[in-house]
Amino acid sequence: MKLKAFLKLTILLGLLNLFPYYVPSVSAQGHLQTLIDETPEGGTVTLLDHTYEEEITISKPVTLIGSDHTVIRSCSNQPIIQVESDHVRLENIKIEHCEDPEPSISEPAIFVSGDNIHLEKLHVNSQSIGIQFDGVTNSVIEGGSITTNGTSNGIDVWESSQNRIQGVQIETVIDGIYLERSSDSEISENDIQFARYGIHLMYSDDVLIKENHSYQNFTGAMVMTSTNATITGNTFSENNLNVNSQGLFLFDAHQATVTENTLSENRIGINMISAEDNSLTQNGITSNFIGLQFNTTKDNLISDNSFNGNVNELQAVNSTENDVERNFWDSSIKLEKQSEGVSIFPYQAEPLYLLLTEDVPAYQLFFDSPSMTVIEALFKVPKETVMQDAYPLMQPPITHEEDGFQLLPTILKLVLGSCLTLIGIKLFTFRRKRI
Amino acid sequence: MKTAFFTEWRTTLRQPSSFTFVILWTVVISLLFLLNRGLPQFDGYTNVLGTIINLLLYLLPLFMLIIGSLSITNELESGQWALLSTYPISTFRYVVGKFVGQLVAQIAVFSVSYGISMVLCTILQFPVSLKWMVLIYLFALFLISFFLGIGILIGTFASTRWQALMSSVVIWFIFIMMWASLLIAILQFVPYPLIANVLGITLFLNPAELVRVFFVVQFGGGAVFGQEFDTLVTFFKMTLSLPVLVIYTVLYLATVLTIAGWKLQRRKL
Repeated sequence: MKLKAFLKLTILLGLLNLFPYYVPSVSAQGHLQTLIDETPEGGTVTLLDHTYEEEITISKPVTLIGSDHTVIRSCSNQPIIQVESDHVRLENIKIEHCEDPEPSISEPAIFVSGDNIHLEKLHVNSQSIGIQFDGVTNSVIEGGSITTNGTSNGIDVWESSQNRIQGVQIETVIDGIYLERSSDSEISENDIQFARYGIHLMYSDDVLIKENHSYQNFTGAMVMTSTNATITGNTFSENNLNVNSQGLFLFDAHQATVTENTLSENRIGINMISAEDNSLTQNGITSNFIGLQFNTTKDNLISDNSFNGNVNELQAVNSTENDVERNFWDSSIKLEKQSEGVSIFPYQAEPLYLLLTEDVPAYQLFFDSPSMTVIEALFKVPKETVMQDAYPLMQPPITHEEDGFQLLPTILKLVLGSCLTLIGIKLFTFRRKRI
Repeated sequence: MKTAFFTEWRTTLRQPSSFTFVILWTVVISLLFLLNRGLPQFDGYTNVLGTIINLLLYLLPLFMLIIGSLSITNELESGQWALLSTYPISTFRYVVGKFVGQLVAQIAVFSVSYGISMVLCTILQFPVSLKWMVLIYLFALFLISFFLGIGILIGTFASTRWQALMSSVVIWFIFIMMWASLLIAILQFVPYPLIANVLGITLFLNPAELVRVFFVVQFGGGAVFGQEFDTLVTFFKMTLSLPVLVIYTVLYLATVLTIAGWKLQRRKL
């Protein structure tokens, strides 16, 4: 026993020696603002399983760590947590606005204006903006969740740079993550639904959007008047709640790299308006109403993408100078020339269903119906809207996981096939002898 | 009913034509599976799958309509029906017996072919997933049942074999080839807000379209039908929808066969 106590003491002393100064830790119960004020710079306030009904302002470098049921709640029209200092860390806290039937709250739940801020596992339920950054650099929002009353942005970043937003679950918002004049940032592994725009960039350059999942929004992600965005490994799906919905919207975007994303079941997979010099490669574009739509775009490279089961693969208006080649088109006629992996027939997108559903969207029910062949013969397609891929690929460039030999399905197929044959033969020979 | 059922079943399968059909279906199904060669195995809805479904929609209903209608008119023309009329049997039972017997025979023919194709494709390693195989088989079964029923109905209305054959082709042409153009033409006279609803209802009149839409949803391609049919697609995605489709099939066939029985009864008089 004594030995244990001695060891503990030695370890404790050793640990303390590692730090140049003594870092006090305060357990908070009672008035939170007072406790924060009393905590020295660099100190830690450990919050209890308690609901604190107040707003706080943090104006020095401290750490606030909550436990599983720590809640900070407020009903007034000012930020629940206002961070004015640098080097502040908030962790594991639930932050809530009161129910606000008449929208009187316009201030964000968390307002940050310092640098090197770390927000981790914060669960924000706001009646206004969830988290707002203004002039923040080198900061991180990691984990946790954000919901609003549906009329404000989840995370709103304004004139801030070099920040990272990672692994946050956002729903019921206007824009999930909104960046304006905020360059050199990273948005990754977030999960966003029920938003107008899942991710929205405005005048923000060099932003990395990686491995996010944005679904059931009006638009999965929107890049507007921004240069050099990298959009990779994201899934934008089921963004079809509006007639103007799309998975990814590039508006006046320049030099964006869009690669290895999955866009499925959107109204439009990728929509580009006035976008130039972008490169779209190795994306999987599946089951959208329109796979890819261009309007007044030029000098974009669209290559090595895989278009599967879209009602319309490609539509273009005033966009003749794009480089569309070597994509895989599920519906193209394919005949290979000397095993170059490329079909000798160029692929021309037929805007048949677009014309058909222009006035009556319900006619989409006839998609791929055998009776459409008759209509196809009747339709005259205006040539100027037709875009073509001169060298369509024979095989999709993206390989699926199910490739390769699998024993169980093979055995099941064999067994099922043999069973069907035997049952059929049995039905053939049944009671035959009696006649 | 039992006698009609067993007779129909046995005579159909004893005909050399049923063996021809086994060969035909085996070749067709294997070729359909072969379409997917060179493409990676993909569980979702693709253009190739659309083509497979379409080719089955061209072939199966046509053959089933012809077989169904001829099975009735054959007996009418050969005088067997006149003989049967002297027996105290109900025409409805006779029609049901004929339908079920024919159904069992056609399922036997199709199953043998499908089974052989499945084994062949697996051995030759065509990249067709198990899910596809099972769903395509079920799709074919529904088509066979619906169109045999309709074929029987056509048979009761036709007076000669030739007439039955022509009517079958006409019905096939309307249901399979002209359906979209026909509806688009008719729907011009329907008030705009009602178009989606009317289209939804017509889906239940043409079993080929209903079964096609149902199975495209099962293959994961529900999104292609658009916002207007979201509720229908969501319903089709539920597990409950298959039993509902089965019940619908039974009701549809019951109606069709009742009309057939009624018509035949009138011809007896």
